[in-house]
Amino acid sequence: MMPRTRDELAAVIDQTQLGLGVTRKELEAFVAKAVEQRFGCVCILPNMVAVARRVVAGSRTKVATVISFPLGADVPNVKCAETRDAVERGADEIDLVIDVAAARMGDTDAIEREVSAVRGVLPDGVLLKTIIEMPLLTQEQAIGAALAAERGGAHIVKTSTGFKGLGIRGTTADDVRLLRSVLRPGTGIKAAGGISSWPLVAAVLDAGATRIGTSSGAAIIEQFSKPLAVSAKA
Amino acid sequence: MADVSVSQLASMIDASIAGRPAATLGEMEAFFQSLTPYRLAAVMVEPRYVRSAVEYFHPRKQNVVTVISYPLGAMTTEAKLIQMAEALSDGVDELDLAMDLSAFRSGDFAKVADELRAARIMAGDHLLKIIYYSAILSEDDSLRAAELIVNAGVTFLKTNPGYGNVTTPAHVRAVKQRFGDALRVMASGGVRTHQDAVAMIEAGADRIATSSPFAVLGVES
Repeated sequence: MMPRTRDELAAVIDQTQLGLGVTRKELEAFVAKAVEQRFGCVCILPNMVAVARRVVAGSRTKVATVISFPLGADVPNVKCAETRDAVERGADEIDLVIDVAAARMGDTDAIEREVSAVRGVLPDGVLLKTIIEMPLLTQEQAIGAALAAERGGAHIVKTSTGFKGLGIRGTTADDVRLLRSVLRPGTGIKAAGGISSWPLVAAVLDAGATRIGTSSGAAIIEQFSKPLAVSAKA
Repeated sequence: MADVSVSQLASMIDASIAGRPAATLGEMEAFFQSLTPYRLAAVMVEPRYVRSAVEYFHPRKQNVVTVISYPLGAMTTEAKLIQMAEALSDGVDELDLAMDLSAFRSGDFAKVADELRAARIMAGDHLLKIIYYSAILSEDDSLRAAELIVNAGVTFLKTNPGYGNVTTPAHVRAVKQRFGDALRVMASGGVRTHQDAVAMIEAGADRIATSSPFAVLGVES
């Protein structure tokens, strides 16, 4: 659904800081800014969940963290333990990287089992997003992984980690359209990975995304609020 | 150094699979088979492949190493310890743990040290190497990180996780000159050729991590 107001747009953005070696002060400033700009959620690394939790206190901004990030190459027991630990520290939402190797092997049962196991350790009200890393998958593998994640109890399927070190392409509106065409209407889609401008956000929302993961939330809101300035620049 | 034998060099290499991430089991098995002519220091696999690697390599007397909180080092200490315990129960021989770079850069050295000590205890008799991100830290900070690691009772450093973090011979020389034989160093990140490896060894590296083991050995162009 297209946002009509600046606040509607901010509410669907997971403002993201997953950088290597970010200091506590830098992270606190990042989260405080996100709260001030009324982003729906901040997405941060596990060792910063407790810090972020303190900063968002009293606001509507949620705290999401990433599990088995960015490779997804952990065994299910470890993914469950890491998730439990994140929830205890105050995570409201979990962005879980699936076993991408299993997706490449077409082992959808393994994906369903791990997603179901992680969902099983979540208290009610904690949201589960599963990152299927579409840039590494064929369309068939992506569909298999998305449906397996949905069967396992994922609330939202997320397109990509956006991890630069992997050298992968960004998420496209076609990725989102593909997921929308196979997932149940109640399952959300988070578009993430290279989504750094309002036109791209508009395209993936139009294709059916319900959430946006980006480290450029502030710039996107600014472009949305001042469309003329954007077209003048272009 | 120039006349180092293939088997001497092999015994200094931690080899990992090249190419795309999220390798399939078939791709991993082909990689395992390609390594069997050599006795390496260790074969590096991600946690999900530790069991497969152990099953394949232990009968061949070849050690297996995995990575913990890789590549960002940003898991909590508790989660890192659980990941280590799981890898050990899967039979892994060595563990490469990524330091909490955020805590380090925040000046929270006590937190870094506590995590390193806990990891050393969890590792027990298994070799533990600590990734300290020499490509990101200044030389002064690298030396400070190395000192924290040594003081926590760990004597093996790994320079970088790869993923674009490139190690230079100067990184290796800096820590080796300061700590000498009290510390071993694995050069990791951007070591792709025989010449790269020789330069690292001349700078004092005790081990080389590479996803190009055959090029490093000089047995394949």
